[in-house]
Amino acid sequence: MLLTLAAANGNTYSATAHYQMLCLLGEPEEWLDQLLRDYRHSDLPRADMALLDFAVKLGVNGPAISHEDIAGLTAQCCASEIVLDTVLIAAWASFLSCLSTGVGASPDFAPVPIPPGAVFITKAPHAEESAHHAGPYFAASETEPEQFAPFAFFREYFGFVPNVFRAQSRRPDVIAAEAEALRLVLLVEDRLTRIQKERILLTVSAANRNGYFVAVHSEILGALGVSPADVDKLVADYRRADLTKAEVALLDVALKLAEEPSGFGPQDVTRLRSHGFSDEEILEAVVMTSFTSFLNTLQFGLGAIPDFVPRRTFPRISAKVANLLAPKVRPTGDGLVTDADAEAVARVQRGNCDAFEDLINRHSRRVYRTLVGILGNQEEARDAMQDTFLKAFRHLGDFQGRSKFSTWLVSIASNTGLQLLRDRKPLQSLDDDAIDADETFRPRQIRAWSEDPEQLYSKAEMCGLVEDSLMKLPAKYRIVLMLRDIEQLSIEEAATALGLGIPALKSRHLRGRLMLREALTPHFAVGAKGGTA
Amino acid sequence: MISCADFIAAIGDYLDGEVAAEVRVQLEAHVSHCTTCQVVYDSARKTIRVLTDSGSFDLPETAAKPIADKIMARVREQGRTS
Repeated sequence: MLLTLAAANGNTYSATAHYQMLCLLGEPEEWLDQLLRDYRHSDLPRADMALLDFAVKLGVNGPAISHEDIAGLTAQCCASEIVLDTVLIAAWASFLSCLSTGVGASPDFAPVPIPPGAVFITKAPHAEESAHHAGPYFAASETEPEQFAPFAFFREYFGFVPNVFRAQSRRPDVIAAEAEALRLVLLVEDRLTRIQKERILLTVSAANRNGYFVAVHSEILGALGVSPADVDKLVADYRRADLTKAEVALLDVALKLAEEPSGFGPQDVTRLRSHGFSDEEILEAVVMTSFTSFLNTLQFGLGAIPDFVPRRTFPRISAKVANLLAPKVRPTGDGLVTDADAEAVARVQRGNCDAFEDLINRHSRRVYRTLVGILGNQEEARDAMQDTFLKAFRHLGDFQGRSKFSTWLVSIASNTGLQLLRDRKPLQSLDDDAIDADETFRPRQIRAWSEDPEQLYSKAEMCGLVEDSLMKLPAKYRIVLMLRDIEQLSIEEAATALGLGIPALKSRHLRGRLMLREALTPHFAVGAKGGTA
Repeated sequence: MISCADFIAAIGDYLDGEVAAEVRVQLEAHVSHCTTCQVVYDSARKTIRVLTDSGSFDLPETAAKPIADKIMARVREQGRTS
């Protein structure tokens, strides 16, 4: 189960570890390779196959789990204890995948490649058609806190015994271990504060569409003194909440780890370091995010009912395929990649035009920024945005999922913008590589910057300064900065979208950053607006 | 010993934490005694922070909605005729 879930999560570290474990337990490699390729054709008994189906669905699409899935397992003669163990294993796999990605762990053994098969990819069940979602799926414990120490712990520190723990009454040993993990991860304030950790729990749970944990941690943040309005902002769009830039960056990185692990990398750690977070704090954020994915998966599998009236409920999977740990693998030679947009794309391809609106809403900002990056003109970018989406709609039938939909869309935006640029100024081009290779960029502004440049200007002034400076850069550098540093595309994604090789992309990225540094230095150097070192 | 030009050429990977350990040691040795590269490195790091957090060229919801509506009108039209 762990091997299959690792493959479903696109997590090479975990796949390698569990492959090795199974080898040590005497399983033949050919059979393990078959499990990785397609467990559905691996001669497993029907009950085992049903459990794997359930585990994979829970691992990659937790909110879609319903009473029907549990009833299906019962029909295969799976006892409640076995189903509960399966839920725990799926939650544990979520934790391990997230943690190994977050700490950038290299496989402990020769890496086991995950075949780019489609078996895990098109798991977008029509959950909205399921009739019976309501949990709980397991009998809840009636045990009083006085009779069971972990429940006493929950009551002492949270004021109540959460249903998600009561629902595991068949495994008191596991409840005790979870209580201890919660104490160590959430309650001990080694580095990050309790509120910082609660914010991660809340926003990652909201991104995972887990209404249960959104309700629990909204309540807890309220008890810690955060106003209901601020809690709502955190859930709806934390970027609009009244948080410092460092706090926003912390949540950005936590969400990226939970939602887009394939794009998570050293640049995210660098970003947090640049905001003053220590490596110990960053590690705590990674562990907190991983633990949130564990808890969210657990709740989806148990169907625990909310302890409080949810402040926000999430519709069953429709616009967005819920993605605890998006099973994204990096593009390979001829393989497919898994994609959070896959379900919406498939619906449009089946003739449901309305589903295209979801894709517009998800990606309009990115397309717009790509076009501003190329055209350097916001009005033109808005017009070109329409052309881009209409071209994407017309050609969606040709899209075969060899890259992520968002990368494909950005490359259409990029081509649309470039064509307009060529029409406007035939001599202006993004294709000129000569300057990248031949000229070494020499910094001219050698003035130390203020220790805290963000304090020198208001948010609107900062935005204006950056926009003006970006507009003055040549388009070929500006667009790379927009995609890499604002949109946070990986090097490979940005290179694919712009049709550039990786060395050219990196060269332009560096040049763009240094040119922007030159342009911003007069505003942020010590002495500018009274800044101090 | 690496030069300032070498340092500047490698600063992109260094900022992104993507240099090999032995290269990192050389870069850090250089920057520890070169004030110019210290200033460039520190300000480049802050440039990335300012850029990433600036919220530049955001498309406000009030602007995005009418554009999305126009696109969807055309999409539905094309969907009907195809």
